[in-house]
This record gives sequence, C-alpha cells and structure tokens, in this order.
Amino acid sequence: METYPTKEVLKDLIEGRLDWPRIKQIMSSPKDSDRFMKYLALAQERVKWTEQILLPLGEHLYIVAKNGERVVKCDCGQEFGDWRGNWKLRALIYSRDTREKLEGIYPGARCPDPQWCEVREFYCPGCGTQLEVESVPPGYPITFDFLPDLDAFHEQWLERPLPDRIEAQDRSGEVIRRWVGDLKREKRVGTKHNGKATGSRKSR
Amino acid sequence: MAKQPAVVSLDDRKPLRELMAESAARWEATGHYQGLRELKLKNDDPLRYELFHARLLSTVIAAREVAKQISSSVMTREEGELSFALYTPEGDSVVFSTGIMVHIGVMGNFIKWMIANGYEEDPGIAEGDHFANNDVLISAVHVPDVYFATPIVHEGEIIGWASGVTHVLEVGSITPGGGMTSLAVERQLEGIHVCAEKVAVNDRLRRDYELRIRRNTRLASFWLLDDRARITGNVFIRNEVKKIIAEFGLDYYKAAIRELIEEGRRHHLGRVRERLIPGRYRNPCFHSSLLKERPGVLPQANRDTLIHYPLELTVRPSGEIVLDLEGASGWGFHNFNAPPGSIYGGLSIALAQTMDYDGRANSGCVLNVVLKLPRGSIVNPDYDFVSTGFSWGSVMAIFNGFLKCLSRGFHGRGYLEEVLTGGNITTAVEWGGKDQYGRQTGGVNVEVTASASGARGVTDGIDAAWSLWNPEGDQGNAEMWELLYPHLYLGRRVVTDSAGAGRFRGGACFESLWMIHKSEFVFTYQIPGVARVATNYGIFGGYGGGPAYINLAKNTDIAQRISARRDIPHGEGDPGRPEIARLVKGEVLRGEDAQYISEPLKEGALYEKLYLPGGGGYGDPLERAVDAVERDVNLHFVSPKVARRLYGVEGLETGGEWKVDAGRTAKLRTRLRKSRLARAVPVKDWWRSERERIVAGGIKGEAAAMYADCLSRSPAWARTYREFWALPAEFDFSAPPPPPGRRNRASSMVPKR
Ligand SMILES: [Zn+2]
Repeated sequence: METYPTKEVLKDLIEGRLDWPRIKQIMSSPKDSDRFMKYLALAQERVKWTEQILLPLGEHLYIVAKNGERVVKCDCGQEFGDWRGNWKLRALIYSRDTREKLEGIYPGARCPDPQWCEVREFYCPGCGTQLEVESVPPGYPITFDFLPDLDAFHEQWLERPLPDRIEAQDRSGEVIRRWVGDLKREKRVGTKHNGKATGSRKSR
Repeated sequence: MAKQPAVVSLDDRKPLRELMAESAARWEATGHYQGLRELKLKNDDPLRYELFHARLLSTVIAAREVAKQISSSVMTREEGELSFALYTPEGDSVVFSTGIMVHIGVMGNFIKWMIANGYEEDPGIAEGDHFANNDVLISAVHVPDVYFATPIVHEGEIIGWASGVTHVLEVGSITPGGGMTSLAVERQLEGIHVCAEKVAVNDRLRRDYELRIRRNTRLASFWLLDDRARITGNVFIRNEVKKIIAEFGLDYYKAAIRELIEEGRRHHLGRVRERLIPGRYRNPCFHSSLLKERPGVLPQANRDTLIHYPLELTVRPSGEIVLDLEGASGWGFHNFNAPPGSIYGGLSIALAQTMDYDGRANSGCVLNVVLKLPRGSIVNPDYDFVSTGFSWGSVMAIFNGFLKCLSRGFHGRGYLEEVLTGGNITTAVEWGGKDQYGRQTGGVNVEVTASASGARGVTDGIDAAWSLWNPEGDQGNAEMWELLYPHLYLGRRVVTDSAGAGRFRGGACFESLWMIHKSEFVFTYQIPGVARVATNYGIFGGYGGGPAYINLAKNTDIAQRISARRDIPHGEGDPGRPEIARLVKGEVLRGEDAQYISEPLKEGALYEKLYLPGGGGYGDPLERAVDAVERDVNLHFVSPKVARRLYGVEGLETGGEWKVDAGRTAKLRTRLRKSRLARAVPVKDWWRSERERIVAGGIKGEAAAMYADCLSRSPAWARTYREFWALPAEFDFSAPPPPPGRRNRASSMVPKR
C-alpha cells in the first residue's frame, strides 16, 4: 500500500506548493515510515550527477558516495570534500564585518554592532547559492553545523548498512593543519600572502 | 551497565523519600522508568488504558480553563500564561495542559525538592495543603512564574500531586516591578521569593502569607487572585482524580500513571529514531547585556557583556540526546543567569513542541536526555544570590538554537514540515509609577507572548504569533492592557522587514506604539533585549532578524495634534523616517539608548516597542517564490527596497497594488548571484587574514572579554578554539577581569533529579 504523502505529494510539499491545510494534515498524521526512501529518490531524480546520495545536508547539499569516499556535493556539481571536514571550509565566504556591509541586510537602527557581531554568508563556488548564514562575534570559529553518524544511521536505524564503514570523526582539524602547512611553506619560499579578508575575490 | 530484573511493588505505603529513591534505583538498574519492562496495562486492555489517559489529560486541560476564569490578570486570562499538570507522588509528571508548558518538569523538581528536604515530617503534607514556590535555586524559571503544588491524598496516602503555574504581573521587585527589568542585577532586587512554602491550609490561603503579598507588591490583587486561580485548578484536578480512582480502582491508577511515563520515554526514543539522525549538531547562540553607565544600575553590574552559549547536541545511536554547553560564559551581575531548572524547562517545552506533542508528553520524555551544564557558568551559577529575572533570555537563545539543531535532523530525514528555525528571542516592557487612577502600579505588558515563529521547511513562519515558552500564546486585547497601565495604544501592527529573509521567511514580528496617558510619573524599562547582535540566524542560507530597539518621544505636541485632528503616528513606518519623528514635535530618542530612562515619563510621551527580531528564515532568499514576495510587499510585511535587495524581486506599484516584473526580476537575480561570487573569498584566504587579526589583537572590547572568560573557564572549549585558528597553547585575549564576586561559595540547595 502506498503511504501518504505519496512521492508526488511529497514533491509538492518540498517545493512549497501545498497550502497550509494540507501541510497541517501531513503534520497531524502519523509519519510515513518510508519517507526517507521517497525523499532520497526525489533528490536523486533532481540532481544532474549520478553519485548515490547518502543523506541530504541542506537545500542544495548532499553527502554522496564517490569512489569509496563520502563527499559533500552541491546539486550544481561542486564538491566540498570529505563529509567530516566541514564543507564550509571549502566554500566561499563573504563576511559582513563592517557597519556598511551589515546595513546591506539590517539598515539603520536595526544594524548590529560589528564589534559584537558579524554576519557570514557561505556561498557555493559553483552556482553562487547562499548555502548557510552565521551570525557570530568577530573571531568566532566557523561552526561545524552537523556531523551525521552515517553508519549508525544506515546500519542501526534504517537497517540498510552502507557497503563500507567510515567512522564519523571530526576531520576539520586536518583541513586547518593543511592550511597551516601551506602557510609555512609559503613563508619559507618567501611568497608573501596577500591577505585582505573580504576585499575582492582571489584566485583559488 | 548490567540491567537487573526489578520487581515493582507500589502497594506499600512508604515515605515519599523512599518512593523517590526506589524509583531512581529502578531506573539506574533497568533503564526503564520504575523498572517497567512491559506495558502490561496497555497490552492487556488498550482501550481501558486509552480511556484512562484521556480522562487524565482532559482533567488538566479543563483545570487550566477553569483557573483562567478565576484570575483577573490580562496575562493569565487573555494571554493564557498558565499551565497545569498531574504528578506521581515522587514528582514525575503524568499529563499536562497546554499553555506555559515550559514549567512542567520544573514544577516536578520543586515537588522533588520538598520531598528530599523532609517536608513530609516538617512542615507536613496533608490534604488541603498548597505549597508555593518561585525560587529559581529551588526549582523555578524566574520570580514572576509562581508555582502551587497540591498533594492528592487518598485514604491517608499521598497518591499524587496537582501543580499549576501562572505568570503574575507584578512581583514587588525594584521599579518598575515585573521582576524582569535589567535593573534587577542581584537576587535581592527581583521581588518576593516564596521558597517552597505552605501558603494554604484547608484550601484557603494563609492570612499571614496574604498579608506579606499585600504589604510587598504594588498590584497585590492580581497576585492573590492568581493564587486562587492556581488553587482552583489544583483542587479541580484533585477532585477529578478521585473520581477517576473511584471508576478505575486505586491499584489501576497507581500502576497506570507509571506505565504512562515509561510509555512516554519509549515514545520519545521512538520519535528520535523516526525523525532525527545520530550525530553531532552545533548552534552557538549569543546575547547582549547592556548595563554600562545606565541610570539606576549598581556598581558591580556596571559593564556590557556579550554572552556565549556554545550549544552542542549529540544524538547517540541509542537515541539518547546529550545537550552540552561546555564553554558557556560565566554567570554575571545581570539577570540572564539561567540555573539548571530553567534549562530543564526549556528542554521540556522544545521537545513537547517538536517531538513529544502527542502520545504521552510527560516526565518520561526527558529521561533519555542528558544535560551538561558547566558549574559556575551562566547555565549553572555557583552563587546563591545570582539574579535570574531574565533567565528567559538565555533559555530562548539556547532553545531556539536547539530547534535548529533538531531541524537539521528533520530535514535530513525528509520531514521538512517539522523543521522550525528559531523564533522570536525578544522581550517586553515593564511599566511602573503612578497609574491612570492615581495609584502605585507596576509590572509587565507581555503581549510579546505572540510574536513570531521561525520558518518551516515547507512554508513561512507565523506572523505576530508563537513564542518558545507558550506556543499558543495570545497578545491579550489592547483594551485590557489599557485598563491596566497608564498607556493608550496608538498602534499595534506588523513590523515591515522584521522577518528573517529566506526561501521561506521567518514570521514577521509586531510593534506597539503607546501614548502615556493620565499620569505624570511613569517608569518604563525594557527587559534587556537583543541589542547589538543579530541573533537567531536562519538555516540553509536564511537570515535572522536584526537587533531589537525602541523609539521614544518626550515632551511632544501629540495632545494638540489630536485636538486639531491632524495625522498622528500609528507605527514606525519607514525605519529611515519613523512616524514618531515625522508626525510629532518633541525630543526623540531611538535605538538601544531609548530603553534606559533617567526621569519618569509624562502624559503625552510616546513609547514604541518593536518586538524584534522576527523569526529566522529558511533557504536562500533569492529562491523565494516571486508571488510570495509580491504578497508580502502588498501586505507591507516587506518593503519594495528589501524585495529588491534581499529577494532580488523587481516590481512596480500601479493602482495601489505592487506588481512583480518577471523579466527584470530574473535578470536581477542572476546579477545578484554573480555579485556574490565577485565579492566573496575562499574560506582559506579569509581564515588566514582573520587569524592575523586575532593574533594582532584585533578582537576588542566585549568580544575579547567573552573569549577570555570562556577560554579560562573551559579547557575543552579553549582547545577547540585554539585548534581552529591554529593558535599556540599560550594564546589568550587581553580583557578586563570578570566582575567582582565571581566564584563565590557553591550552593547545595538544588537536589539531584
Ligand atoms: Zn552549487
């Protein structure tokens, strides 16, 4: 028997085409236990590439299986590396860290104080989508929003284990250490890094 | 942990303290509430069991409706700021009503506190007794929320408790009097503390208690009628429970209330596995306390503070949730301090709204949640006289973040309709001084109870409705508030551009514009708002709302304008040219400074409170449906300027209606996307220059003080911080020392659960 919402109705729900009474009806009903599989199938149909989606991570981001690895990928095709490395570290950033830049979102009296708060926008380098926004004090580390335990999820909760196991350990420190290594190397060979935070975009 | 079989015997009449200890031991030994491995009553006769549950649930809901009719306070009667629940003899909630559900678990801990402290022997617990509490360090959320717990005695045996809460208007605190003003920077300024006291015997308030309230509060009749409302609700529950026992039998009652809790626990675990994903979720939140050189502030509190709540949530494969605030700011001489009781309350309400709303919402739902609240921090202060008047500020910040963590899980599972990005983290205004009848007045207008919800994953947030602490709260009629305080409403309307932008936007908040009326001596004080920071950012590319502020105009010509029938302000309008400055002559103050007054307000002054921020948005604003933007512009929820700038939607007003220009919109959206790519830098480059800025001492003021405090408090958080920026272990921030009196003697007043 087909569960409700059906795949077609779920598509309408995701795309924001259902009116409130129908949304409310779905909210008030017991959940469809096959939702995740329907959802995955819809996501897989939507993207242009063929890697298998393991978990949707945002409006445009997915964790996908690729050559025995699990990488974060945008629906435009842009990849952000291993899922344990915090995809934000491989994104583009525009940090609204001056009054002028903050006023682009919060004009006049509604503007935060840049000594207390900056608004960081993370964009996909491939398609320019705004993937995530952070509002934190200056000097705050970039937040690693969500590190799913994919194996526990697929194996213990869905009872559909993934072909190989990879421990869900935070690997963002490795990305940082690579950056530090690059920094040291550059200093050694005497190429001075031309570092201005949020000016014009530099080559990557 | 080895689980041993437990034999449950609930027939023996035992002291409550023993029952409580046995319950804890059975939980430890088996991982099941009361050691209940099987839901025997449910399995044997599910219909009878459901009927029993329905009878209990309808009882507590009816108790809330009955109690509303006794109270005369706008908050209780109209806004619905009350809630009732039934507890086991040991203080575990079985069923609870709607309303300010945040208190349900906290009231249970109040009952447990009395049991642990030998109340059965002294002062004794008997039929007709009512015990009151609003002491946060015993178990409460803040002073205005007063709890009454009432034992239910059957043939000499305490078989349970009824407990109710209402938020009282005025609590005898420092002016203005609602107990939440930022002037109350230590416990002694918060108002009357009722510390787990037996305040009623034979269902009548004690005369000495009543005298204390009358002698120490400015609006005693509201407090005392709220007391009677709680007694009424509790007595209603007590009577109904006795009828239910007569119908189902005492043994059934005793066993079934415990089975409902174990079922609640299982139900919650089932929901976690159904809707979340195991893993680690993070959502740091921030708040601002601005007291430096403000009128009326005590010397020890003379500073501005940026407060840090580094929320981390771990969902274990077992379904257990761990909420960790390691690295949180230390407690301070301000009123944001939020002892564990209030965090526990925030947890219960956040879960009741998102996961445990049906089935069996009760104590069982939080049994598999672990709270890690560092001692000495703002969420677990180690100072007995800490002010907790606005613990709400902290609770709202943390649990709106909590909702976003859960939402990432809901989203991953495809349950987008359950996504709820954080809602309003806003505050209200206290009113004191002389009222329009010439009497001393005080308290708080808490119409903010209906402000704004965050966006859903499939639709916009709710406008001018919803709050974290009371999801079905109401603003109360303006006319009722006008009867109470010396202010008249010139306007109450949705604030344009207040909603966090997103593919689905957050709810828009509202504002009220008041004119001081028939009084020459009015104190107002905004409960500390979210100033200087844009907190509550959205999710998946949505923005949050901006900082909160008020507008104030003194010595205005409003009276003349009214008699000459000229235009008067009704709302802010264009924030760049607010009506309060455009349509009246007078001394106008805007922004965060306006909330601190150095002299009483007089007839004719205008006070405009914007309940910012609106709810957080969901998804990239450039992907919002253009017809939704068109509708928002025509409703004045979004200005054409913001439609263009944040949503990339071009339009034109013709014949009083704003119409989208599809062609120009498509071009603008493409251009905005490209301009993002042009102005952004790779995170690696940004990281390098930010690191240089930190090393060079570029982080200054309150932000530096926040880091210095948190790095010194938590080695674990400090490690994470230094690791991210690749800083040496000795790196630190130079900042002024923490306020005097920190790390005071530890309190042992709160018993363990
Ligand atoms: Zn992309």
